[in-house]
Amino acid sequence: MTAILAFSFAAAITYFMRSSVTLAGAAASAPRIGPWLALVSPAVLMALVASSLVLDHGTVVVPHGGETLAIVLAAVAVRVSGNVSMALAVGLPVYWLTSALGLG
Amino acid sequence: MTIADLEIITADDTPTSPSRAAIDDTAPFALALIPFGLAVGGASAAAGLSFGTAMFGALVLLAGAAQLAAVETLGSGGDILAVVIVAGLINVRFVLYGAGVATWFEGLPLRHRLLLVYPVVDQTFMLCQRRFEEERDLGWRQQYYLTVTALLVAAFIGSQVLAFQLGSGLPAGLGLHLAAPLAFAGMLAGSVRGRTELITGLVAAVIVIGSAGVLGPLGLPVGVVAGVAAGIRVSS
Repeated sequence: MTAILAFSFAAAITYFMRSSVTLAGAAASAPRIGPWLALVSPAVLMALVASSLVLDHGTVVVPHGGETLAIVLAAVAVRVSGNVSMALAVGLPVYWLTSALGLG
Repeated sequence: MTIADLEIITADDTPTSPSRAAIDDTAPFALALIPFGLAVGGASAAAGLSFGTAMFGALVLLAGAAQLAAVETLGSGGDILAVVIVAGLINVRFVLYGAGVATWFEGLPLRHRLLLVYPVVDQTFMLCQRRFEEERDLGWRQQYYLTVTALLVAAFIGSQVLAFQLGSGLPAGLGLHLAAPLAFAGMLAGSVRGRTELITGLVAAVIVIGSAGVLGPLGLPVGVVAGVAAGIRVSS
């Protein structure tokens, strides 16, 4: 029941965000808030990536070498190609390779 | 994905059928969603969610990164508030996507626009933004938008169903636990345009990690607010 409620509330918040401009009838105001909102994504994403590497249930741990390398190379691949799907296409094989070589 | 990815879409090779254009444009992105969907399905199963609960979450949220973060938050013992905060922060960019939908379908009745805005995600926004720069009537736009949405949803939900069907048949060595951080890193690499975004992200990451033992799940919103504040200060 907790999960159902959590998903429901999260979905409600998400729908509110999607529909807020439509409901406000203020499509023209979107450019004004854009620069602020544009900073939220880098903040959230870097925090999540860093957390996944160095936090284990709230405790700081030494990052896994293979996972770190995979994530770094995935980011580089996306940066170079401009294609986000390259993150998985590059990152997972790098992880498999480093795991097979016993790195990490 | 960036606009640069979509350079293949030009006025010269635009199919006249909106469905055909949508299928051509969406296919690579729908395929790329499959491993991510497998990872989300696998994470949902690992977090102890039932198939019904996981599918409910997938369908009501229609936002993969937020769904995965929600599942991981639930799996690590987070409460409802933590899930809502995490999902809300990840999805705040949807305000901008919603602004795009409001603009594209401005001539439609409000109830139609409120339905159309529900499934908008990163890929839909990027593809439609590019396509709708060309002069297209509302009917063409609706059919294109709905076809893109249907393909993306089918790939994402279908791969989650598959992950549940395979269950423990998915080898741990596949590294699907890494799919989320990889996808986040990819999105991050695409969203950092300069020093401002970099500083924003670094401040947020340092605070989230540094405060993990004290703030727990609340470290994320605190770190994000601090990061954005730092970014605004740097850019002003």
